[in-house]
Amino acid sequence: MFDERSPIYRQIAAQIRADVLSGTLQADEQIMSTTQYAAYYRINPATAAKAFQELVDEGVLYKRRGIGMFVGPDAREALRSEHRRRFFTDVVDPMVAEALAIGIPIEDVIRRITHAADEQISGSTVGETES
Amino acid sequence: MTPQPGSWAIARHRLRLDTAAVVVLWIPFTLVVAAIYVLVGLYGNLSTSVWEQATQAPRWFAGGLGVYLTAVYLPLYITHGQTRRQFATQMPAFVVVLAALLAALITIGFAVERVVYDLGGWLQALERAHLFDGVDQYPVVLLEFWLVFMVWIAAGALVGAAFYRRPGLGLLLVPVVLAIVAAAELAVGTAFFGPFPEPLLTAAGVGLEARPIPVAVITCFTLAVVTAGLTWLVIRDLPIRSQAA
Amino acid sequence: MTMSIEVRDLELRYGNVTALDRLSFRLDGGKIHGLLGRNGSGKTSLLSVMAAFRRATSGDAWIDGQPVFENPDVASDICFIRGEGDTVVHDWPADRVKDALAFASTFRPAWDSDYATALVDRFRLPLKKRLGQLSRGQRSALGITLGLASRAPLTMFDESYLGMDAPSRYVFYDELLADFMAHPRTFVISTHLIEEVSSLFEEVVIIDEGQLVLHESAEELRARGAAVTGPTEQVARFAQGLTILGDKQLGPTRSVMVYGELDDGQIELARESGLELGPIALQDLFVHLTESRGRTS
Repeated sequence: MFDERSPIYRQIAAQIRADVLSGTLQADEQIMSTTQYAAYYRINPATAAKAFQELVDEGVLYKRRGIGMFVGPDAREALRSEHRRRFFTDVVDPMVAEALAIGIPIEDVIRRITHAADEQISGSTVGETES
Repeated sequence: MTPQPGSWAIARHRLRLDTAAVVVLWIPFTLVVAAIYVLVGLYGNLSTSVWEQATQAPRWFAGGLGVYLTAVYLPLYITHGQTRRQFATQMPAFVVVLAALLAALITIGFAVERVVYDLGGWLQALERAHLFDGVDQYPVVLLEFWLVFMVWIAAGALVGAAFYRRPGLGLLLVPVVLAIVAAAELAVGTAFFGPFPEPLLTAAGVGLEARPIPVAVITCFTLAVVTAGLTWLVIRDLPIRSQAA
Repeated sequence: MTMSIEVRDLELRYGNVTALDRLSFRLDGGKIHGLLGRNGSGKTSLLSVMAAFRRATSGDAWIDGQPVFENPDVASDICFIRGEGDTVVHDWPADRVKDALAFASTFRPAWDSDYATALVDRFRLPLKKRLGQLSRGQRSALGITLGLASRAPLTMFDESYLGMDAPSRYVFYDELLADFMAHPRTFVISTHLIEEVSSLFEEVVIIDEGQLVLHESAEELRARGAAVTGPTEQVARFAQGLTILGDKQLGPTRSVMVYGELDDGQIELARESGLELGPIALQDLFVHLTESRGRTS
């Protein structure tokens, strides 16, 4: 269900982006209509429409008149590039800052990263680690 | 705009519901009166019309119906999307018809009593003055009670609206409404309810005989119209209170 | 058919008490609007004026551009369900559930009997029972049935779920949404159960002490506040110059609720200062907006 403390349309949009990224939603697949979203989550259909509009503007969704909303053919790739772009600024840099602040040697961090990557690659049965 | 409920919807609605109520209540009422006949006949002497006395109760019923019209039904019509003006326009027509219905029932009662008294050999004497000299003047009987019931219903509606608007206003209008009803009764004969007993009237020099029919008709119609006008003043911007209050 | 609402300089006074104080706003047709306000804020008075139950002391209300008071062209298109519904409870002997439905059926032009029957079944209302014998929750459910089945182009509910348990309230929200999507009309819902109902709203109007506090889209309102938490010094410095709705201190930690969207620069600054940013619930925003009206920030 939705966290009542932030705009619902943002949460819907974030959920759709995550589903596209993970492959749960395929390219050119139709998503639930605003009516279905509204009934299922008990929200105003305009809220779902707002989320869709944002995603259309981003190029993640496109609209087929009279039919519904569909996942863009290049949506997944576009989202991945965006995530990749922000991964270093949003995830790595803050991690480095925190490590330095707590006093962890950077070599220890690097060693841990490599170790974790080995573990996850050998342990996982699904998933691509290479783009 | 979406289509409206149909013209005169309020009047038709009330006619449907209230005539049914009248007919349903009339049966027990006549049964009670019949019981009184039996009692008086067994233990006393039937020398006057019992039905004449019995016409007291229907007057109060008419007054009560008037109170219900404004104090109970008007707010319902407003909360269901009608206007106060629509109500005020349609109610006179409804009141005229309902008063005629009640008057007809009374007249039929007199006729039935006449037959019963003839069979029993009793005298169907009238104790008060009326527009009619004898009970067999059925059109006049009908007219008298039609006039009287119209004014009683209108008077009830006025005081009901006033009390709904503000209890203080209601109290203020109680003497006014009593005076209106008394005037109508005096026009058709004698007022024979509480506040105006006959000795007082005689002392005041008010004649106890009925007025000429045209005078009675004009008086009662004027009273009804004036009462309706006063009621309109009370209801035309009537705030509708919440029932939960 | 949907109806827009406009209110201009609306005033309602009862003797010395001013219930509505020069209210002005405009609501688009075809949307679900939320009307929020504390007890005594004027919600019921406002809706009563909009429904022509009362006449304003001054100022006007228009429905679809037409004045609303005593206007037969729009009167039957407006359905206002106040509390448990103003229906046939005093109309003995015609005071049963089925009588209430029959009354509405006669006077609501767009009344849908089948829909009403379905709702009565869903809420499990006994048709033959007298209104006076229904529980409060059942009375509310009847009011909701009357409002929804009326299909009135402007339908307003004023705290119409009192006494209803949570499952029944969710039936109401589901039915409201479903019917709104199938048969669009304008809804105005007043409530104090903000967190439960607010996801239904497209726009929100907040009034307090008879005055308009705010009117905007529900989603924009949700984005309009942030809770800033961290060491007291940093928080104080960050919050300088911002509109503060509330303030909490616990040990060395301070949490401040600010009103107004934070731009990217501020978000960056917060992160650098080691401050945590979180959203505020609509309910909290509402509480603070109506609490702080006495003091300017």
